[in-house]
Amino acid sequence: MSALLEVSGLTTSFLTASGYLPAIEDVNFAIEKGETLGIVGESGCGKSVTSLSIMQLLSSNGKIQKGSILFEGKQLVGLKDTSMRKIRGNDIAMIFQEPMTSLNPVHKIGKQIGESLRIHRGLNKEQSKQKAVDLLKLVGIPRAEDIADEYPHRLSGGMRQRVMIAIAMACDPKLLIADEPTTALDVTIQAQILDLMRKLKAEREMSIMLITHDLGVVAEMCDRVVVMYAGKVVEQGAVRDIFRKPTHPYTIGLLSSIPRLEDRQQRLSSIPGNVPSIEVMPAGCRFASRCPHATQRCADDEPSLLSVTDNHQARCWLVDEKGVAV
Amino acid sequence: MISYIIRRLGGAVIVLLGISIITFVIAFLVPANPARAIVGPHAPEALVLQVDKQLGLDQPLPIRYVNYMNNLVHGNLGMSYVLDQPVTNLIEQRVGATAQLALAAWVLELVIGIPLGIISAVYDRKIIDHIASLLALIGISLPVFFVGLELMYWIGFRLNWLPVGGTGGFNYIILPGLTYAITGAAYYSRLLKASMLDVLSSDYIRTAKAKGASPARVIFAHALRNGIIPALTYGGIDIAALFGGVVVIEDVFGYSGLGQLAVQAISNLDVPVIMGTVLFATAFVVLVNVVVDVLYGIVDPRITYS
Ligand SMILES: Nc1ncnc2c1ncn2[C@@H]1O[C@H](COP(=O)(O)OP(=O)(O)OP(=O)(O)O)[C@@H](O)[C@H]1O
Ligand code: SF4
Ligand SMILES: [Mg+2]
Repeated sequence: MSALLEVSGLTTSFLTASGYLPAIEDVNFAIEKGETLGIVGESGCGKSVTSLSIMQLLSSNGKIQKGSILFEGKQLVGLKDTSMRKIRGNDIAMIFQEPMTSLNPVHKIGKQIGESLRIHRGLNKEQSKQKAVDLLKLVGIPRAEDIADEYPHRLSGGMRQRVMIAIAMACDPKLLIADEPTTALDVTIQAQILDLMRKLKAEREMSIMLITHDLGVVAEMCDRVVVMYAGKVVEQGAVRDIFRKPTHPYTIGLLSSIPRLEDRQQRLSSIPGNVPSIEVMPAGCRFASRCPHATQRCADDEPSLLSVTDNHQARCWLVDEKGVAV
Repeated sequence: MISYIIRRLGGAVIVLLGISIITFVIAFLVPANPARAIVGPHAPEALVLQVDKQLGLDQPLPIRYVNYMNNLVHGNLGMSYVLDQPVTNLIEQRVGATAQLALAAWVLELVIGIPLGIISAVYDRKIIDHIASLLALIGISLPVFFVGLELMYWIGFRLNWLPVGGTGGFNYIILPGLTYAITGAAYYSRLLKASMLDVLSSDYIRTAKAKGASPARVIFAHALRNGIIPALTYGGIDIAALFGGVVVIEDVFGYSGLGQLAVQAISNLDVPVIMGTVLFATAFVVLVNVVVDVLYGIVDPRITYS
């Protein structure tokens, strides 16, 4: 029972006009070594806040208010920035949703890839440059030597995301956090990037935390999945179990709206209604306003995460009784 | 890139032509006669007419302009009406002093403005940013002559650290340079603060942090080179403004540079000197702007010259 990453009771708030308001609340999950964990949910449900909390890269108006983040048994919450910097880019690497803007426009590709090696491994300019070329080859970029000498604006979105992956892989991280790595790319490129991540994971025994709004991607890539809604985990379990027996009405809604391959670009939208904003969180179940099964109890009391089976939980009163008919 | 520079220099020639016409026309449209100014208000009309003829002022304006330009391309800017010396000599004697002063002013401006801007951005809305912003606001609001006189009084006169005015070595350019810098640095600091704030919240800065880069590395290796681009544009404009500013400052500090030469020429209606200094300043400003545009491409690889 020593997971690579163990998040418990994580609550992260942002300073707003009405004081600190939680964007995610009491989030619990773990990632085992070599495992790919999917985190899914609609826009604004707190996926990025969760990953930035782990990296301790929240914007200055955000802070972790409660909870613990254990990485290899080490507490990251409250860790000094100097110690956290030794972990970032080294043990935990991250890639982002926006490949077009995530690379520094005024530095050459090779320099940007080699940077974490200079920071963490003390390599000099030539060594890190050479290693950068190797990494470009690793992520399948043709003419790696030439590309290392290019500036980012000469590359397409898909190429840039490969470069981001090369940056992330530089120090052989134990955990790769990928925040919607393919959302901004077109479908064929999406598939290539996912293939690349799968290949790298297999070669390097790394764990992946894959954030997506696309359950189709989860089915292809992940071992387990955490479904988030309005800042809370509403269901989690093995991918197989969740696809076979989705329990939370929100998960059921997501599953019935998996876009087909051709229009995976589109955000999930088939569940009517909107995610409540952090300023106006309802007292009871946060999904009640959109839930076809909502009762008075749902509006009054918030359910906790209830066990469906040993490794499968859902935050819904229906679990108590009989499970939901799909 | 070479062809770009050549094209830009071609454009510069056109700008110079335009400025020369405008200056020429304005200088001679003033409802006062240079010849009268030279001989004095009580001299007889006949003498005025004689001087007119001597200076070629009896000819029509377009002819005078063509003659002037013809001399100009042969490197001859004419004789000063008043100082009895070739204008090129006058400019040559003064240009070094003004260049030193302008350079000192500009460097001091950057030395004050850039760190202030970086600090304000990094400590955005913290007390140190408020102090920096307040200082910047004070600097912007104060008139040049006031700052100049205060510095003269306190540092020059009361503390007796530096000469109060005049022209000489390095010591003589510090106070006038500082005067310009205090009133101008705030533009750089504000500009830099805004662009650095923008850059610091950008995705690629997050990427740098995610690599484990230290705050110093994030600011200096990643943010500054992007954040400095707007300041670079302003630098080009500022150098033009610098010439105007230096005129006032030279006057306040009794510093004999081109500015002072120009001011005296204007009050004497010494048209060849007016023309010479204006054209010289224009040529310089245009050249600086070409240099700035080339620098752009070095700082920002996304810019191509076409
Ligand atoms: N810097 C911030 N300041 C204030 N509130 C924030 C900030 N960042 C996030 N939030 C709040 O946290 C909520 C969750 O945001 P988050 O970015 O984690 O969503 P997400 O699940 O990643 O969505 P998406 O799929 O659009 O990326 C947002 O709805 C927003 O209200
Ligand atoms: S608790 Fe009630 S409202 Fe919430 S998801 Fe379950 S049935 Fe729907
Ligand atoms: Mg997000």
